Amino acid sequence: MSVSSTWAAPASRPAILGAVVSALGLLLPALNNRPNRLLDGAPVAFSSLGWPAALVAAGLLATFVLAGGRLGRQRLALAAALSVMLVALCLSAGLGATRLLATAGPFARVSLGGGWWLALFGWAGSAAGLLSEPRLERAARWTVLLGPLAALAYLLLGGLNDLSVLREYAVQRPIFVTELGRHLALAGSSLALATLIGLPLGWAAGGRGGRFEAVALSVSGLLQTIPSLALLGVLITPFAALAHAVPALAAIGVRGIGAAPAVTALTLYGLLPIVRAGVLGRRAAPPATLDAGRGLGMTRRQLAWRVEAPPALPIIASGLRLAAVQLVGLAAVASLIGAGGLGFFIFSGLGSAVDDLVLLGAVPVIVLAVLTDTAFRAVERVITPGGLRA
Amino acid sequence: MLDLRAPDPKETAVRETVVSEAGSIELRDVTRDFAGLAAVRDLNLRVRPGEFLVLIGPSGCGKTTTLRMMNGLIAPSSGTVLVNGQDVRATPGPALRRGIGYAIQGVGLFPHLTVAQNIAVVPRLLGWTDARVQVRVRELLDSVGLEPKRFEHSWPRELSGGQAQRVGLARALAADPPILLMDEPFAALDPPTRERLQGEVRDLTHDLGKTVVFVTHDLAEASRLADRIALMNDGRLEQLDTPENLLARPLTPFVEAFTGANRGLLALSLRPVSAALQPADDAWVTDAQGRPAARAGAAWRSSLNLSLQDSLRDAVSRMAASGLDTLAVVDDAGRLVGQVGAPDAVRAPANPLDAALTAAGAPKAADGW
Repeated sequence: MSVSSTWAAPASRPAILGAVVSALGLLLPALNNRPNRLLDGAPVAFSSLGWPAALVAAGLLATFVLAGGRLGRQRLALAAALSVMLVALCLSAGLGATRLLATAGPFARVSLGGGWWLALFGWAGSAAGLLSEPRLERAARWTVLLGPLAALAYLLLGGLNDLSVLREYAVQRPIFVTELGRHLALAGSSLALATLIGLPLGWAAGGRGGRFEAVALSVSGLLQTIPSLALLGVLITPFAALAHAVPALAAIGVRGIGAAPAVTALTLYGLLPIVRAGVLGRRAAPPATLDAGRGLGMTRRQLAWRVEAPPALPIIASGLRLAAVQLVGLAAVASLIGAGGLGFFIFSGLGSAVDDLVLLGAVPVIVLAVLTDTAFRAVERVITPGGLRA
Repeated sequence: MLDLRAPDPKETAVRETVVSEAGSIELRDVTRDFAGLAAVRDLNLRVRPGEFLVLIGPSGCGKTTTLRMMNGLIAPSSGTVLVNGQDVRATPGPALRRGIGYAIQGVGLFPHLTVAQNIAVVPRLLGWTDARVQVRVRELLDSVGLEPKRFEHSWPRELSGGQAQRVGLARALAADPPILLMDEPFAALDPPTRERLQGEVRDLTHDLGKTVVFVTHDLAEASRLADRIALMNDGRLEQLDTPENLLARPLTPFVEAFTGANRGLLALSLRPVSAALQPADDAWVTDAQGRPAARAGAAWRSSLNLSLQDSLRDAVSRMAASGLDTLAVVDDAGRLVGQVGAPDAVRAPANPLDAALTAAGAPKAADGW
């Protein structure tokens, strides 16, 4: 790498901003030491957590220095500093909780404090900032990902088991697995339905006539503006009536509450991004290529598969990604009408004022959304033809 | 209305004997309506094998519709289109079009395919083997002036407008069709690129013996390229003629108006310097190799010299720019072979154009010289 290109790379502002947020987090309580599941406890500062907290501070300092300078070769070093910081954050929570519980009563709980979450949030900002750097080296990209992988390993090996969220998980494990499965089934089936309905609709609407397009987009847009809770509520009555009128449907589990209205509502929400992707996908091939394809002697089918489809696929995939991420989040609301899913923990936690239960639902939903996004992006990259890559 | 089909006895003979119709296109009493409006009316037109025919006219005159009826992209409302002597309705559209080259203004290169894959589209549709396709692609890239090694793996987005149109031309020629249809292929290019490509397309298609039908709205382009120009207006053929005749002898007021104020200059651009060449006079001073070195009483510069391939329009343009009324004509080695003077340049003897130019008032400037 030449000196000039090192100079040309500007400092990473998102990375610095993230570091500032993390620094604020270090000033706030890292953990809460509580006598039991419900009561508030005593805040525990980072400064009392010993060497892991010192390591967090060191990683943060390095982030400041490296991200503030001109980012060149330092990007690999910055990636390493961020990884170290994340692992140190996890160690300070896990080791801190174990140490605090050793001297506490049998019902005592140690939960993550506001400062710890803020530090994690800042870390995520810094990492995202670094990952979005133009032409980031492969080595730096993988080094940033080492941190989360190590944190995951620490979690799976039981390093964080003394934290209250995981205590809660240990109690709820059988239910958790069931509800996670339900959540995935709700999001997955509504995504499939929305695709089956929305994609042909959008593709047809995007055709040359164009009159149908405004209708398709405004109807699916209108559906999105209805608040999710209201839509679920509105669907209860017709589904109850339907189950009552058609016993065969009732026999297979269609009721006013439960999976049937939930999947219906989620499907309707998923329509807009997919219909829009269909419309845009239909128009992805430049008109001149269609004329040329026909003029060169392609049949209708050859035109569809060889000229229209290749530029449309990446656009459609990105519409499916948007819908999937949305549906993974929205599926949490479905538990309100008895359809289950991770929302069950969130709403029962809110109802009984147990923060750890809320987290047990909310954190997996966030992780699922991020994983869904990542997986769909990978698919998009693979199916984007070389000539269409930026 | 003039009967434009009528009198050529040779052509009638060819049609009757049906020797070889390969490369011919014929429209018989063709009309095409769009929603009740006639885009093309009662059109009769025969494109001869190996001919470069340019369809020209104002926008909406039906020239593109006419072109698209030749490869079945548009079906005539009534009348018959014959390609290679066969009614186009006898062949399914895709099969018909695979045998006819097609190049358009937007080029329409497939963005997800490489240059080589784009050129290979029609051969692939025809089921050629990989080896044959590869040889053909390289051959074509060479013939349209693109280095095969450098360009075959490029993506269309990496090409300039001129390069893209060259690839489009190679794609149109890929399966060696006897007929090539081109719809304003150079309209979006900058003038120097356009002129270079015009020359190359004309030479290439002539060398290959292709029949070319070329749509444009640019009269200069038409007169540079065409063996014959078909000037259309409001769905009808106004005049079908050689560029020289079209400019010199407009048959209708519309043709006269369409060819317009530039008619004289365009006609000059079709005539070579040799048409007005005079022996060099005594005012020229030449060096030891016989090259012009100076001209008595004139601010001569070597950049003003004309070659025998230059047109009289080039001559007049340089006279107007320099204020000189006599320019040297040199051969390829730069030796003085003669001169062109201002009056001769615009008044080549024994050419019917004289009358037209005088009528149009063009020689006024020449009187002043």
